[in-house]
Parts: sequence; structure tokens; C-alpha cells
Amino acid sequence: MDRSTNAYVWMMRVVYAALSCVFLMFHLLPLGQSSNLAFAPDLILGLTLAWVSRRPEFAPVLLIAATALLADLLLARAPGLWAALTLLLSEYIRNRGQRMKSAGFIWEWVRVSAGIAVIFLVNRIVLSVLFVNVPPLASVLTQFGATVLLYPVITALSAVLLRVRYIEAAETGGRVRA
Amino acid sequence: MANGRTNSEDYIQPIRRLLVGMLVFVLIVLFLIWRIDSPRVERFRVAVIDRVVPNFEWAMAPVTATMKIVRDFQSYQRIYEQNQELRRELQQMKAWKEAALQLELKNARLLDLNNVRLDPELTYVTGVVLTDSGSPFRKSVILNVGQRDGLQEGLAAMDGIGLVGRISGLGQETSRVLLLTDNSSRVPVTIQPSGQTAILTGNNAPTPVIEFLDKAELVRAGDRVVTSGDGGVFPPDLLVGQLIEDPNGRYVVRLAADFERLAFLRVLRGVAPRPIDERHDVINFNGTAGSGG
Repeated sequence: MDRSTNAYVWMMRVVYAALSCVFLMFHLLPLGQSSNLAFAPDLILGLTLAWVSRRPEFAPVLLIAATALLADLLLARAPGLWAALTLLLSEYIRNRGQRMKSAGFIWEWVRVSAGIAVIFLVNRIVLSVLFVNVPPLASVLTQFGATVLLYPVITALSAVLLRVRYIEAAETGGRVRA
Repeated sequence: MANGRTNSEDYIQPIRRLLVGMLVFVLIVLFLIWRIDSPRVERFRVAVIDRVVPNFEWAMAPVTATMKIVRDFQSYQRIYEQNQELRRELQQMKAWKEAALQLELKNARLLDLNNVRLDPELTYVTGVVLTDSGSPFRKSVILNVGQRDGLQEGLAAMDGIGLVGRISGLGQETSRVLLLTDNSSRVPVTIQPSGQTAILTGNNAPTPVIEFLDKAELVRAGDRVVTSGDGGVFPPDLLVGQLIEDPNGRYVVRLAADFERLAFLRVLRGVAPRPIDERHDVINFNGTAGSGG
């Protein structure tokens, strides 16, 4: 299939929305109160960043904003703040996608992790400045660690299963197969 | 061709940037409105949950069932120990059952003597747990009963045995139950047999903490903790759990309700506390704390 046609792009946008809904669903499964305590990475953030750096057209701004806001509402977070931070970070990564490609994956991972750290920090600062009840630091750090550690897994899986790769790599790959 | 393309990109870049800026602005404004006028935005949140969550149900049911089977399978490995444990507990239960039967008889006789009528206002409606809160920082579940079933904000939710939490967030068909373990949960309780009152404070851990205990020397680990009914938050004398002492010497409560398996919850449709519609009601204590004292 031609990997740049309009229909393909739209299909991948639907896939992005569907995957986000699946992640959201996994967060919401009624499996008892201790199961989600230890380990709760923000998979939607990871997915968004991985896709936005590789194929920005698959994750348009409006779609990111809509999913992030839905997640905020369903997961009982302060509505809007985390969505806004997700959006800003995804824009930052989107503008650096091509540069990150040439720098290699380790460098990309470092940059993405730093970005995630910054928005976690900003989120916490804003919440405490406005006297919103902030969650305990230990569990936030676990969440941050889990999100960062799962980022390579998400990128690898979306590259292998859904062919979300940097654009030249995808094109040459297609030619070799053809 | 190439020229035209760069031209259109020249147009698109600033417009995009404007769009992103506007989106971020809208989201932050939403957040600020939530911070200033929380009830209104929470109602919006509840409306969204009301629309979205029941649609997830068909997909979630099979996944949940599979996960539960896996977990049950893991527990088979400990089946021998569990069997032994159950036998021991059964022995103890028999003794308790005997005592309970005698007490029930006695109670019935006394009620009859006094011609007591139980409060008919305390009916209940049972709901199924649809989802968890989905975040390690929030302890709540969503039930499939809501306003159309006559629920109100603040009603008490129990499982078969003990108190679980209160309704906080009410949609037409769904409602959110804020669990006792949530960080923002505060419940006035009485510790039996000494009758000391205290506040049960959730801290996201499985065992909420007892705070504002007047005379700590009067209570011991193992005492029963029930709701006190102070402030009209809950009906009095709902079982909450058992007092235990944690390694730091604080008193915490082992909850009677099984928080690992919240499947069906019973919402007591009794006297609900006055709903908080406007922001200033929180500060104006005349209606709530005044009438409780």
C-alpha cells in the first residue's frame, strides 16, 4: 500500500485514536484497588510522543488534544492541565522530529525523557501553587519511571507492528520489499 | 509545483501555531475554571463519563473476566494453605454464628417490647462497579446506577459488610463512588466500645488513618470502628472496620469491606447531606456543621 495517501493517513489517525481508547480502557478495568497502585505508566503520552516524532501527520494536534482531555476527564485528573502539557510537549517533539532522527535513538530517548520530566514537574508545581491535592511523590516518580522505560517498547512495537517509522526509513523499506 | 508547495506551507505554519496556541489556551482556561468553580466543571465531567463509560463496557467485560481467571489461577497454587486457613476460620465462625443467633433473638424480643419501627427511609439500591478510577492517585469506582435510580450526592455506599465510600459525582446513569482510601476522603467515626470519636482520613494506602482521636489511651487495636453520623455525612452505625496499630504506632483501620473485589455496591438511599451547589456553601457552615452540633 502507498504509505503517503490520504486514506492511509486517515486510517492511521483512527488507529491512534483507537489505541488511546484501549490504553484508557486498561486504566479503567475494575480489577481491584491494589492492581493499579504499583505500576501505571502514562501510555497515551508515550504513544503520542513516539508517533509525533516519526510520523507527525498521524497524530494531528486536535486529535491529541481531544484524547488527552478525554483521559483527563475519565481518569479523575484536574481537567485540562495535563492535556495542555501533553499538547505542548508533543508540539516540541514534533518540531524536532527530523533532527532527532539523525541524532539516533538514545539521544531521542534522553530528549523525550527530559521533556516528560519537565511536564511532570510543571504539573506538580502548578497543582501545588493552586492548592490542589497533589499525589504522593513516590508514586509520581514510579509513574514517571514507568513511562520513560516503556517509551522504547512503545516505539519498537509501533515501528514493527504499525510501521510508524521515520519517513525515509519507511520509504526505503517499502522499496526493498516491493 | 515546488514553489506552490512552499507557499502553502508558509501559510500553514502560522495558522498551525495559532491553532496550537488556542488549544492550549482553551485547555488551561478549562483547568482554571475547574479550579475556581469546581462543581460546574465536575458536572461536565460526570456528563462525559455518563456518555462514554457505558460504551466501553462491552469491551471491558471480557478483558476483566480474563484477568480475573488468570488471578484466580495464581491463587490455586496456594490452595492447600487456604484450605487449612478456611477450616480454622470456619471453626471460629461457628461459635460466632451461635452468638449472633442468640443476639438476634434477643434483639427481636427487645424491639418488640419497645414497639420500635425501623427507619423506612433507609432503602438501598445495588449497583455494579463499571470501572476503577484508572489512576494510582485517585481511589474511586464508577457504578452503573445514577440519578434515575434516585441517588444523590453524598449517599453512603457499602459492600455486603462494610462502608466503602460516598457518592461523589452523579450522572443520569452512572455515579462515582469516592472510596474511603482516597486522599481526600474524611469520615467521622466512632470507635466502639469506648465511644471515642475521630476522623477517618484516607491516604491512598489500603488502610486509612485515624486522626483527631481525643483520648488515645481508651482505644485498643481490635476495636470496632463504625460511622458516627456526625455532621450528617453518613447514617450512624455503619460498620467501617477494625482498628489496628501500624508499625509507626499510629492507629489505622483495616476496612471491613473487601476493597480488592468491589463488584456490587449497595447505595443507601437515606437522608443525604445537603448538596454543595455553590462555592460559598463550603465556607458557610450554618447549614451543615451548625445543625450537626
